[in-house]
Amino acid sequence: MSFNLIITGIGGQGVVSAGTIIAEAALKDGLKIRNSDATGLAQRGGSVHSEIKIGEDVKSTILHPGTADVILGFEPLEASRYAHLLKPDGIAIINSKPVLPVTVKNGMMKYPLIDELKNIFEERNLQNIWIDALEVCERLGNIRVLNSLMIGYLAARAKLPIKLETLKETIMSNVPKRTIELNLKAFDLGLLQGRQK
Amino acid sequence: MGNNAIARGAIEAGVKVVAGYPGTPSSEILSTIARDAKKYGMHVEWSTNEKVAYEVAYGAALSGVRALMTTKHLGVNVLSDALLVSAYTGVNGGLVIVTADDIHPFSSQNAEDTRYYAKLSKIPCIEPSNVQEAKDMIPEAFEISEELQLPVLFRVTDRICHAKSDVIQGEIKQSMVKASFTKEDPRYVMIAPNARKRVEWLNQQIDKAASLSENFPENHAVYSESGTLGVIASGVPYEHTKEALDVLGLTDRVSVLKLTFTYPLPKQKIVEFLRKHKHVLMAEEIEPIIETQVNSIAHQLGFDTVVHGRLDGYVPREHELTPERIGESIARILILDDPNIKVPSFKAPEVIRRIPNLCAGCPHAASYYALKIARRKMGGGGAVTGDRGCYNQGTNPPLSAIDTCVCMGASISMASGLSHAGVEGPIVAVIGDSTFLHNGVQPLINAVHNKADITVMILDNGWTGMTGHQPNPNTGINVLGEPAPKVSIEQLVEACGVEHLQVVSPYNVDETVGAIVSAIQHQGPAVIVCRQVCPVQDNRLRRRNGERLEFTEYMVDSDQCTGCLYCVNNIGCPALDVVDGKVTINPAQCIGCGVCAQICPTQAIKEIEK
Repeated sequence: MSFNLIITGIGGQGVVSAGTIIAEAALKDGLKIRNSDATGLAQRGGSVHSEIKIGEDVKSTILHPGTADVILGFEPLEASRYAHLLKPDGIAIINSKPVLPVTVKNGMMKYPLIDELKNIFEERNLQNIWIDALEVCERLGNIRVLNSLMIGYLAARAKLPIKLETLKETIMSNVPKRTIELNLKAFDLGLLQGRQK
Repeated sequence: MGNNAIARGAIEAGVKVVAGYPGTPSSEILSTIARDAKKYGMHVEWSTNEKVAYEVAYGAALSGVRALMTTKHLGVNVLSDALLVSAYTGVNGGLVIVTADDIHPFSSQNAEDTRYYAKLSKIPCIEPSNVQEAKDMIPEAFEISEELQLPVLFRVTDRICHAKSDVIQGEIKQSMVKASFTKEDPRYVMIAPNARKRVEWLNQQIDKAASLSENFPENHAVYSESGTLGVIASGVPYEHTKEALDVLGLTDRVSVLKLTFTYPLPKQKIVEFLRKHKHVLMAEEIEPIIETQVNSIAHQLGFDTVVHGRLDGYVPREHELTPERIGESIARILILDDPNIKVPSFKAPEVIRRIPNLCAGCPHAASYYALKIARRKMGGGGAVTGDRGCYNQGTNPPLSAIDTCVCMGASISMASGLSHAGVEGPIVAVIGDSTFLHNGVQPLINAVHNKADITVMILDNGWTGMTGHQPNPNTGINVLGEPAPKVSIEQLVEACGVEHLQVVSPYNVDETVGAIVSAIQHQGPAVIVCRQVCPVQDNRLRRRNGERLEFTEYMVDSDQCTGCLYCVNNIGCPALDVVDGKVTINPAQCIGCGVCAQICPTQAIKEIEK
């Protein structure tokens, strides 16, 4: 048994904490893990990704291309950057709302059309789930629960070898106390919507 | 995290004194140890720079206790002056230098392989291959250090420091050693006649180290039945090699010699491995240091074995290795004998790069704006020499505010050089508070003494920000969170002999522009301290203290906004959005610094009255 996951996004979206939650939950369920974060300049709006391997015999912390079971994308451009890591039958779960770099805002660079980004995944013939997660979070009243919502979607769609209860417990112990309730709500909503979609 | 594991290893080894300077990817090692400093009676400190930190640890190790020093690779360059001589005197208590090499590089000025320093200084080098081993090998490194009386270079990379894995903890052995210093002439006094005697001693010690390496359990080979290919792997590439063989289904066809004690090398083990294989592939990061030695062994013994690696192009010459890259190299060698082997190929999608910025409300962005306007007023030209810290993100568009970034403190000395060379226009050096205290004071003394006509902007945000907000002597607290004396940057600058000094808040744009203009006009070195605490850290601490944060709110009057994007292009603040050609302010990001409102050409950005 092995499960490989890559979470991608930008600094401040909670990519690293989502990775930590999943890795910690797997540990609690008695599994072995490898988790590697690329967080260079994370606080300054740069790209961030977290690679997680869960299983009985895990080795390198870096995913080999073509071996990821799931891409959990917090931002569409950042998700597409890693499309080649997915297995041919892998699943992409992606928040479709872009976060624009300053160099796009001022017209120096052009952000790809969402359809172009979607094509990167469609061409690879994968299972793709696009969600307007920010809209959902705004409805919940706080965009800082994006990671819990996305973990909910992940738990609904992927063969994550972790118990739901363990995931919830780990979310609770990793988020600020006053936001526990909201985070659990986001997780449950992700789980529900993920199952319906 | 690997850095936590290294910290745990040090505590298990009973370390007594720990010193370092923050640097990605090493910083969390020391701050983790600091959390347990009181519990285990350890002295832990952020030092002013790596050379100071090393000398603190080295001094402690002379007294018989165990000492640890942490740094990123560039800090090894800084401490090397002390390192090479400390190998001559040797130590009594174990002394381990953990160097976290950013080999790609992900967040450094260069990609460096500090293992060369082990060879240069004649000290042992240990390279763990994963997080568990990073913990386990620290106590081993202390044992080796004490057995040989030599400092040990413990070399890790990003993929250990910032990787997480399950780790089995060991027992904590609190040290019973009592520190004592015994005068031991001529050992510690490295004047030339004494140093001459130690040359021979050091050579003897490194020969002893070679036999330790030969018998080191983590230098071991796993042989396959086929004699076609063997991989010699050290550090993280060992794990990548196993992964690649697994993915390609070749585990049974390729032998692997794992090396952990990599200087000096276990020569006999390498000879035996070479003898049994037609091809040997070298998987090491990032310079072909072991490869050249293995090549030379193969050549000396007249073996037919072909050694592949970074030198013959079978391994890419630059950057970190990955399972993918090693897998491709393995397949390219095996295909020479077996045309049925597939060389895997994966192509990453090509999409635009996301360029990092300064944070919303960053005072550095405001300082850069004022600098731009002041230089324009003074007729332009000249140069802005930058330094190492968050503020070097100011090189990115749209700010493009600095012209150089080389090493800690170089902004001031390079500016002096440009000025003495006769470059026309204002020569301005930009340096952060922590960097100034690290290695900027001597260049400033030098600028004064040699009458350089430069302006120095000290961007003082009170923290060592870039590496994760560690305290420095300008913060007022130490690594343990205790109050600590705060250095006076003003008095320090004045004591250097600087005659023109002004302190401003960069959030006051006009005042800062005026200060820079008058500093440029001043003949000789002038200093401006741009003081504004880092809002990211300040707000974090205030939130942690239960404070409810309220910011001055701003909005854009869309009738007045002409869509000129002057604000976006000149401060690049992430809180500024552009919707249908006009600027809006994202209230979730804005911290109310008010700089955009001060610079808007049509006064379209307004404070919201409450």
